[in-house]
Amino acid sequence: MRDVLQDIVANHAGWLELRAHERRALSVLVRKGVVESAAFRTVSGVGARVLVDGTWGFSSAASFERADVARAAHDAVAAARASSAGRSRRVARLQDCALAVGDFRTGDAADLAARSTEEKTALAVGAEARIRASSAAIRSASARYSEIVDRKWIVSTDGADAHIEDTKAEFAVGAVAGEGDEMTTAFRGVGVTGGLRDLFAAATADEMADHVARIAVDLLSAPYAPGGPATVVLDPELVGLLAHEAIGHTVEADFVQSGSAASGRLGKKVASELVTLVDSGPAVIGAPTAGGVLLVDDEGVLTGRTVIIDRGVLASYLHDRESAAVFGVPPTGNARAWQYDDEPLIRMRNTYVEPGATPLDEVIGSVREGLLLRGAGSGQADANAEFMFGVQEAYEIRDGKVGRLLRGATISGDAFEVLSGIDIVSSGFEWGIGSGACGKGQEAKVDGGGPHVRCRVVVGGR
Amino acid sequence: MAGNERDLIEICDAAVALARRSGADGAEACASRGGAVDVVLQKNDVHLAKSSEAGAVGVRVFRSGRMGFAFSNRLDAPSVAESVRAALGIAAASPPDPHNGLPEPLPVSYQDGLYDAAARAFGVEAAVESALVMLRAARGYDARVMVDAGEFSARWGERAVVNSRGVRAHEPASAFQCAILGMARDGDVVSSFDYQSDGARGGAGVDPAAVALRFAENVVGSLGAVKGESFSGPVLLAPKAAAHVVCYPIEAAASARSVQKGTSRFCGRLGQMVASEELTLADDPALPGGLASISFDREGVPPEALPIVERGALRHLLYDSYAARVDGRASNGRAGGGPAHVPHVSPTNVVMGEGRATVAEMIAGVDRGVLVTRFSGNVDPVSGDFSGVVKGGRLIRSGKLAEPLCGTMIAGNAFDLLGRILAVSRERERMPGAVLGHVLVEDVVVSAG
Repeated sequence: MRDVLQDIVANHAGWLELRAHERRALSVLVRKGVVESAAFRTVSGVGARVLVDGTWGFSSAASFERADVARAAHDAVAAARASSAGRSRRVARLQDCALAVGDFRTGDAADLAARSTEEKTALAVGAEARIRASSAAIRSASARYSEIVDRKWIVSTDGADAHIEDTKAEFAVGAVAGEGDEMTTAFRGVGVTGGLRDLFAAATADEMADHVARIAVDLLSAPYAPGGPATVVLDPELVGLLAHEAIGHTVEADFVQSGSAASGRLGKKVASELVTLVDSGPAVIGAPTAGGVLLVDDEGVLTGRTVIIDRGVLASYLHDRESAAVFGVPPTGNARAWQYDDEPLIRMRNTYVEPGATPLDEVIGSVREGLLLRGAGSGQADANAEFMFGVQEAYEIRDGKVGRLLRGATISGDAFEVLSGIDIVSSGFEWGIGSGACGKGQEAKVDGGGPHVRCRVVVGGR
Repeated sequence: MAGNERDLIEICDAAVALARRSGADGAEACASRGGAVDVVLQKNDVHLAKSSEAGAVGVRVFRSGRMGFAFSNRLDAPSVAESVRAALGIAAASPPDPHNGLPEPLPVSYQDGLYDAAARAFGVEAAVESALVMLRAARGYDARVMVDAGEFSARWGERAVVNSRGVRAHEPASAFQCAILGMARDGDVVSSFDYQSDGARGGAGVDPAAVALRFAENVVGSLGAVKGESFSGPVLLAPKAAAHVVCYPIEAAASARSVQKGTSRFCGRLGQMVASEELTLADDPALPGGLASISFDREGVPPEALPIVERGALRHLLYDSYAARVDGRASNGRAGGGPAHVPHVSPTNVVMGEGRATVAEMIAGVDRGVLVTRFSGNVDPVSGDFSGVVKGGRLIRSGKLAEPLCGTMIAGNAFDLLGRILAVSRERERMPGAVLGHVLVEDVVVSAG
């Protein structure tokens, strides 16, 4: 494969980037005792991206054959030329940098290969059955196992020549409890760069199943969370979601250039000085198996640790080679493409808040009246940095003591205001949002995490 | 059958035959093939032009009640054979289920208008011009409008489904789609995001300028937003918000699979009132130009038009062939998904019945309320609990639209809300796969931060 790409690139007049990608994925979904979907998928082909007279063109071929790849490169050039007249500002140049050469491996592919499909299916079947057996109040349950094994080759006319192998695995469980017309749900998921051993390093499948069953049943008798502003302690999952969704998207340089809330704020104070917020390709903190681990991005740029907010001050945006040239900074290795037929976009990897020094029990003990919020639901953030996140579990805190479980909590606020209001950051660190994917037209596997933090948010309750 | 189906049908035939020879009791192949041109907008400019052609085949096999599925994006014989082998391997690892199986063949009435030959002839230049129409309309409306991203695409292709019980269905289809998202920025003041899109089977059905103007009006209108007031009262859900808070929970609860699993609030409610008499919601697979219009579903079953909720009463559940076997009845053709997915219950085009009041009359009747243009939040389709932020919101005061809102949340239970629908608008808006109106509901909890 590498030879084919190198040969076509060597004979191309102008800038060309070829990315061959072979993906093999397995997923098993079990719901209420039924395997609703057990599927094996392969997706493979080559994406060709060109820059012609300052205009991007892209095409792809579902093939590794030389003639098909050469045709994709030709079609990309034709697309760029055909769109050239419509573009008002040319891409002046791509930022120079050392591009990746060599082999790059992440994740425990051997562990996944050594486990049979039967074992992986039984894992989901067993966890789902365990949830249903745990209580008469459980009406339905689900369990999902999935894995992605990627091989990529990135070759470009300006020197990228990388072979990348990456393995990611996920497991998630859900429970539905009911009483009369009333139903409650609970969910927990984990996603790693790695194999099954890594997936269940923090909690076993049985422990995850028992947890969601207990929470779904307990929520049936839980009162609704009160709506309005509140002092809250966010757990590492919610801190990771806040870092990714509410801050991370606003500092993606393409969005910054469009006028996001982070535009024009480099060097300015945007958060409490207790906050240092990072997006990193390698997992340089916590477990090395974070779900968004990426050593080389899809432009062939070596990734590293990008400090977005340094002790409260906005320090960097997230860049591809195009935006890095515009801003006059090195690219940060954030250009990512989901499949061979997707063009690279600026995306996050592992986005987190660095831990502080306060023990967790002191953080909770410092709250006279508030909420301890655990587990991230889905989240959305706006151009103006206003965010909204679902919360899996909300617990009352009164006089520093954790009390009863509440239901139906969501939180919202202005991300920069919330970060500015963080007044305690705990010690300890966990990754928490490696399950699922970030969407921006294309999917991307990401992770996020941090310590626990104390701050003020608006709680959407009743 | 319609169109030049030979090649794709032959690929599916070969997959099914190989699966049977390899020991499958039953097999199904679903394949597609086509091409597209896309022009992507970014940072207020044309960003990238793409052209592509692709194929896909998904093979589902059954053996002793066990089901397996495999997918490949390559249609060549070795790739299809590998998918057959992989699907049989998955089936061997899966537990048996007496309801697993395939539908019987039914005559398919092929719809006109699903394929516009202009899509195949649509070049990058034409797509650039359509994308520029959007960009110019949005930026021309107000210089403060920022187009973060957008896209105009023309797609053409064909799909086929073959199964070992005799289903053989094939049809060509095309789609023209446009989307635009971004915000308005006035100095340091940034508005809420807005996202607008449109899509149709034929090029004439899409109006990129109208989409861009709707987007521009929304983002400029939400500049200078202020935090609202906390109260419980009427909320006017614009079509996008209604899709999220009203239609999505109905679609989920009307899935026969959800009812069978006991995770639907519509369990045992067929024929009963589940909403106010103001609401009618239908599933129309033959909506002219509709992006979800189809002649046969993912399993090759022809879908019929169905009222889901008719003047507040639950009339029909949505069935694929699995759910139909569980209930001992026929599928009504609601198996969704493409070749990459195991079929699952899914509606086609969701169409809200025309209401009796205009939007202006609905606003005029509200003394103190909130207009929700977009809902950014969570709706639990099982419990119906919803909570989220009002986007592009406006306060309604004394029958008139007042200041734009930020930092304002709404919360409640979507199924309880259905009974408190006061009115549905006469005007309806087409979105990809849906035609929806404004919905006015009473007694919604509004929280301002």
